[in-house]
Amino acid sequence: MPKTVLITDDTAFMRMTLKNVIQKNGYIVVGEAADGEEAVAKYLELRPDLVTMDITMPKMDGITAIKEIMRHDPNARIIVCSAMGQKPMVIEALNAGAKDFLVKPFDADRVIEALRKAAP
Amino acid sequence: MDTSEFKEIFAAEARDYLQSLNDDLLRLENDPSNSDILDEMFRAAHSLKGMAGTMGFRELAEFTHEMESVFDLLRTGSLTATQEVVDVLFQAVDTLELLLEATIDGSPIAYHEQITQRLRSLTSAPPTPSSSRSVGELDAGFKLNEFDRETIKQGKEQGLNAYAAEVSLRPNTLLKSVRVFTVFQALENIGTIVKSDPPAQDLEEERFDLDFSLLILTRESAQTVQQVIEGISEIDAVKVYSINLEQTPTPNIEAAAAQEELQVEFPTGEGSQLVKTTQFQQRSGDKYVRIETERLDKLINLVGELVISRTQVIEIMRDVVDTEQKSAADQLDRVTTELQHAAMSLRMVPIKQVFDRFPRMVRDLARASQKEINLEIYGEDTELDRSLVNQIGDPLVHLIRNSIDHGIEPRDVRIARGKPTAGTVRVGARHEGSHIVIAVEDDGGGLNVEKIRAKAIERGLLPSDVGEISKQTAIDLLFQPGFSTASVVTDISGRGVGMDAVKSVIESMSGTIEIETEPEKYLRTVIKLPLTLAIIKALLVVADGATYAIPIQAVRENLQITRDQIKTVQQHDVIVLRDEILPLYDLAECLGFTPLQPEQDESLSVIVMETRGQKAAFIVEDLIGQQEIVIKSLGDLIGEVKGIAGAAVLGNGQVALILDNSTLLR
Repeated sequence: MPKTVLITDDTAFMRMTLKNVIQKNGYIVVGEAADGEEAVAKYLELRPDLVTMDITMPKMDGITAIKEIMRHDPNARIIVCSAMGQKPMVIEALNAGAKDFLVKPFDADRVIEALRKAAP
Repeated sequence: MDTSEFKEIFAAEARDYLQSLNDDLLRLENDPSNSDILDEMFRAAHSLKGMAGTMGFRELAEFTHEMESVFDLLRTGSLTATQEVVDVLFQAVDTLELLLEATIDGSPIAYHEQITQRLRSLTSAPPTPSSSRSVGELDAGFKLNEFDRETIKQGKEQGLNAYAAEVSLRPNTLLKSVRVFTVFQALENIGTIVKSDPPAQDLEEERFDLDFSLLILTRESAQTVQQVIEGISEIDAVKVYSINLEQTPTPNIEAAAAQEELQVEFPTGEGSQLVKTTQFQQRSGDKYVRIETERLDKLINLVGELVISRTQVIEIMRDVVDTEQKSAADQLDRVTTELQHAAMSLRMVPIKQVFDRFPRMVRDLARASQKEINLEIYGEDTELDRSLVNQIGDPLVHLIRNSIDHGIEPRDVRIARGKPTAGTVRVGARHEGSHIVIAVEDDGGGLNVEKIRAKAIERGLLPSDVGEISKQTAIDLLFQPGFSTASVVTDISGRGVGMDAVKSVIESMSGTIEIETEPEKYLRTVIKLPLTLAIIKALLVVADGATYAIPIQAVRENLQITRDQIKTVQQHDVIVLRDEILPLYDLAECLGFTPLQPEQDESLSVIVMETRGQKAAFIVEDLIGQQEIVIKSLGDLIGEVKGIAGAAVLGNGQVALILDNSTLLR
């Protein structure tokens, strides 16, 4: 059965690019969230196999959202998406339970590798 | 990938490495078989390569890779550091500097294929990528110390397996340090990481290329370790080896003692704690932090403001009798003074920064001029203000060039004069009160007074019928604009900059420069600079009702005169002071205000100022006294005003303009 993915990013452009890559590779994007609050709500509602999580977002940032999701589901598989120069944040996200990280600008192969390794 | 924000740190660190490469090469030239130097150079090149690669500076990374390959051959003994090899390496370091600066500026990268080829010819076999390291080299890479061995031994006693994992990241991996972190994170779920190569801190700061090795203690099998690492993204290759301690040499007594100490601190020997020990030990070596100079300046500026407020508070408190309030004010006074000193010390850096480039420079100059030169450096730990360090370099370079080019005689002349064939150039610094004294000295021919006289006549600086001139006059002539002693313009110091330029730089730093010389014996140039420019002693005077501050080093004396002491020479007011005729001006008038209109019999306050040997007297309305002031710029809106060097807030809150003595006297 194909794995389900929730995409979180505050820019529609990034969500679109990610969705495009992910769906081309046999995953199903079941939902999109534009901020941390929405991501937590949609996670609880959709229970996707995988989540991509941007760090810098309005309302609730990605790290808080990761912590929140992990609190509800310690087995959640979250991949944090960062920009170069956000090293401390990425480490914090990994400590909070993120399984892997991606650095923008995204490379399609890297995105798929991360998804595949996070949920074999 | 946007790495621009790391560029400054990269530049600073890369320059440090470049400097250390230069220093090491000089040491290597004298001690070609010293493996410590070679190891250090190898590491420097290797780190530079890693940093350049991280920043995406391909040219720089490739070039440092070539250098690294040569150093690797040298340190393994496959190549010997002959003069020829060292010369190639010197050129390579120069090229590297050009490449680095071009890369930092983003300017076009110069052609460097030739030197790259020469480096390659030294490493006749093609350089092997480090990822294909054989098992045999593994232990050497790790350099297990007794502490590591003991840790492994204890682990094995507890039934744990010890593995070395060699991990290669995929080329172009982003945020490599975080990727390493995920490897650490994953492995710590199944065991304990005892050691890493490069050390954890280097990994954290991305001072590695793509490969790193880890020493792991775990209950799991080698296969599991392999799978765990392979389950992480962006890993190119993983090799896991089992570690066998059988061939371990018996620890010597010293190592055993050191290990015992550690044992006391961590008696349980439990894995996770041991990891923390190793990391902690590495960190404790960090005695320094890099701070943006801007932040430092801000702190110092704020302390300056605080000092002023303190003075205000103290002034208000002067008439207070309440002892409690008084002692509180005293405490404030003390702490602020200490804070001020502490803050000022942050601005201080050792002059070593400047001196460090001299050995290399002297070597090259000596070669170019075919003279044998010994360079002696002393007092390189002497500290001075950071802003001065940046400016003092060029004048010193010029003086050293002069010494080698004009000072030290050719070999045959030296032999004829009964001097050692090698000339000596000494550069040094020391503190003297609130000043730093920097001296450049050579044991060469000294000043040729007769030659200077002839040259000065030729340049029209002296009348042609002038008789003998004194040594001091000759020295003064040297500092005249447009005077250069070089009878032949060589490629070394024929730069069109004379001693007058050196002098004006020194004076712009509120310093003085003097020459002491003995013909055929020595020439010594002594530069005296204030330790800091941020706080100066100033004489406060009043002109047209406003207070002005005059830097104290420009003030020669102050006196009271009566009107009848003012004489007129060629329609200019002058006063005669100890047989010296000094032009007399009204300070207010000089500044464009109404001149003082004194009563006939009233005495006048006059200050005598001197800059560049020129003296002049100024009438002021009143003298207030001396005070330490913190110099502030006038700000961008006003910009530069002729005759005004800045402003200072005085103890009473009033603002005083600081007069620029050098322009006032013109």
